[in-house]
Amino acid sequence: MLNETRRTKTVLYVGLALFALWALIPYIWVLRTSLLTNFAAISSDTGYIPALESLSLVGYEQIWDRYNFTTYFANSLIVSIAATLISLLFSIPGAYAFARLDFPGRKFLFYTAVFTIMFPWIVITIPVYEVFFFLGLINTLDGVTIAISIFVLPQTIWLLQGFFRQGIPENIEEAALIDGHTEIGAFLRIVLPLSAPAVGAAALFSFLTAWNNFLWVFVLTSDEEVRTATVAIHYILGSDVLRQWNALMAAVVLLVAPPVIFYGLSQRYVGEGLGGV
Amino acid sequence: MYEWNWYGTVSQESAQAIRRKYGLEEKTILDRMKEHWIGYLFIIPTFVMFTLLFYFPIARGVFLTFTNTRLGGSGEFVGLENYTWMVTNDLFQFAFGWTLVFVFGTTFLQLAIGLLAALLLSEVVRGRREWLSAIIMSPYFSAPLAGGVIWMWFLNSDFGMLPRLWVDLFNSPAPSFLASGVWPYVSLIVAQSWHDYGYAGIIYAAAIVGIPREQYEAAALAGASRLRRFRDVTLPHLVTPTIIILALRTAWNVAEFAQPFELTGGGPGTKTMLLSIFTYQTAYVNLNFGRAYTIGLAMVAVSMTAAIFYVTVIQEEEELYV
Repeated sequence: MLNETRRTKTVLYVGLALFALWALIPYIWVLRTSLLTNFAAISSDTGYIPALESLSLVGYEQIWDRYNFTTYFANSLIVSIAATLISLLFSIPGAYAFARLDFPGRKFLFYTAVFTIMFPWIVITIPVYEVFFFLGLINTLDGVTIAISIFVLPQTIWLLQGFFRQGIPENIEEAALIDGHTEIGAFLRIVLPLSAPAVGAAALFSFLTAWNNFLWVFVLTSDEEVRTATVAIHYILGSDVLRQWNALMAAVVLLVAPPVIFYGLSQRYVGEGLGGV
Repeated sequence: MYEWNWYGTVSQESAQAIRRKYGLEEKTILDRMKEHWIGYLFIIPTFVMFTLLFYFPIARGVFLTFTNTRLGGSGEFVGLENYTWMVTNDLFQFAFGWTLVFVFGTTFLQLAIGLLAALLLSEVVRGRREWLSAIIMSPYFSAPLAGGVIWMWFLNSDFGMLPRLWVDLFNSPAPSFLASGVWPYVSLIVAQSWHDYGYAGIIYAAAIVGIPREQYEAAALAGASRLRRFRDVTLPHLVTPTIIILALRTAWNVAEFAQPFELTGGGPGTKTMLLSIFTYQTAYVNLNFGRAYTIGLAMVAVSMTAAIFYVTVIQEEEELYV
């Protein structure tokens, strides 16, 4: 900040290095395992940082043949993209109504939406399971997609309404109304294009939540064809067959990499929205 | 303009005209609904989905707690039996206490580590700060289930890194980090803090970046030391974010399922049983929906205490903005 000395700078960078170590060390062990052959991965002769010539990509090749990860990752991708689109379709108008339009019952609805953000999902799976059972949505990708897209809604609405409220000055819409736009026109032509970064953040957020989701898929499905990658990894770990640790850890790396990289590329937009303040 | 009658007062008719002119017309709620129909148009899709997947299930769940409903069948009304079963159940009592310890421990650690990360990052110049924070906050964006697998592998007695490091450093056999003594509790709390401190860190970082620089410069000119500047300039700006993080993280740590489920699954045996895992087992292993939702309500009670706190605070915030 101000009057920096060499000593405080050293302290700062040592602190940051320790932090990076704390954040990365569990990952590194997984990455190391995924880059070794199955035998070397569990041998105690392999060093903490294995020799360069012992590295191999065999784990990454095996996950596609030995397990059905092509299907699992494809399912993850389908569910995440569909859930992102559906949740945006619902949350953009919803958030705008909460932020700007004053209608009777707004406050009540808004606080119930906040309340649902904090509701433990595992509890609500029980009656929702019954509803889905009744609608015939158990064990289908449609059911999983619907559940995930609706259950990220409270958070995306919260993120977007914060932006509509604070990021877009109200007189812009007033000017549009005076110019003869209708309220819907003002929203579609003026507000929406200005909100592109916030909508992008909300999309990213929905995608990550859906991609990372375990609980809904785990509860609502049992067949292998509709499994996503998270649930597949859980089942493989729980099964008694001889485990191929390198292949399994390669799958974990592929599961973790996309959200982390996405975040790295777009964190500028994510940070502002997360807390809704 | 004003019509005076014989008694020297404004007549009924013109009083109405005045009200209309100055927009003082009293509107009924129906008028307001008609006027703001567009608000409803925008909110109705969300409202329908919320009714189908939140309001109805929550209400239905509360009804379930008074029945002995099992999966796929309709139960009979049993009064308060599920509640008496719950409060007299040893495992529930244990899980409730351990959940409180887990939630307090993880929430506190997440807050402290996140704040420290945000403070350190705020000292780095822009540009370098972005990619450093991408690395340091990255655990938060990994799947919670993957977090469980990652820590299970890291702590694995046979092939994990920490036990191996322990042996190399202390030359004595490592404890079983996921089974023996207090270690599984420590491991669960540390792993959960690792996964989610990024949330606190990101919100704190946004708050610190938003503090006007002039305030620091003014304080420095007035001769305030570094520590003093932190206390008098930075800290007051962190009060609201702290309350928000505290409330949200409390609720989410209560609800956390995937990571502890993958890491220990409540085991060995039922040694590390959390309420979320207990709810899962009662519902989907024992298939007793009525009892499971009753346990769920205990979780809801804990997280709703946090929610009420949160809503009160943001209400005050909203008044500040308006």
